[in-house]
Amino acid sequence: MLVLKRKAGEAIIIGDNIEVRVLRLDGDHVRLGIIAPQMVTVLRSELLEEVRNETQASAVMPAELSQVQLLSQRLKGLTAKKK
Amino acid sequence: MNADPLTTPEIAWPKVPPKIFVTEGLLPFANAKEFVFFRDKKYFPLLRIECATVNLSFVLTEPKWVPVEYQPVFSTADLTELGLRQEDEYVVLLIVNLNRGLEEATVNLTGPLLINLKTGAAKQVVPLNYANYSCRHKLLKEK
Repeated sequence: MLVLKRKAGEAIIIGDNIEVRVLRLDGDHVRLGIIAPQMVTVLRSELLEEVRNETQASAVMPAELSQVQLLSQRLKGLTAKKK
Repeated sequence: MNADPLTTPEIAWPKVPPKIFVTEGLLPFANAKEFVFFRDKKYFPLLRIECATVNLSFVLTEPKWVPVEYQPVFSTADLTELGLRQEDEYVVLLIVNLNRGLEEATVNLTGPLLINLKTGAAKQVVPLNYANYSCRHKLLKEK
């Protein structure tokens, strides 16, 4: 891992067009400003971890298929929204 | 088991390719890349995907069955990666979690599957406007 020391107000550049600037230090919190093209998704790492964990927990075992059928019946009872 | 899509008006499956290829794998399952769709009448409006190589299966549904206004915005990087140029070229499906029981069933709005209808290329993506949505959005309203 590359480790860089920066002061408040200083920045690093990633690639051609991503800038990460340290805006403020407040105790053990760092406020970062990020400039990146619209095509780049910027995420807090916890979010990706959350999606990962949720996907893992969503894997279906064959024994759970009766639950799937019950859920489908409940959903059918509700009106599908128009697309 | 693998029923064909039905054409009766009350049952309208989403358009899906027979197989999808998740080149990067689903987020926690890097090796699970190829999935086959199962559309079984008794599970409508839920679809199943089964991995062709590992013992792994998921239940999916279309956003229109979820009680939420869902307007995900995808990054051009994700769209380009899947060879997508316009909206009618893809379908968005949500992964259902029944792990906490029927009444607590949720869908993951922050990690949908984006699927190229023509090629089957697919990716689990985080939409740019993820902050508006939950990864555990309840499917059934309170009784």
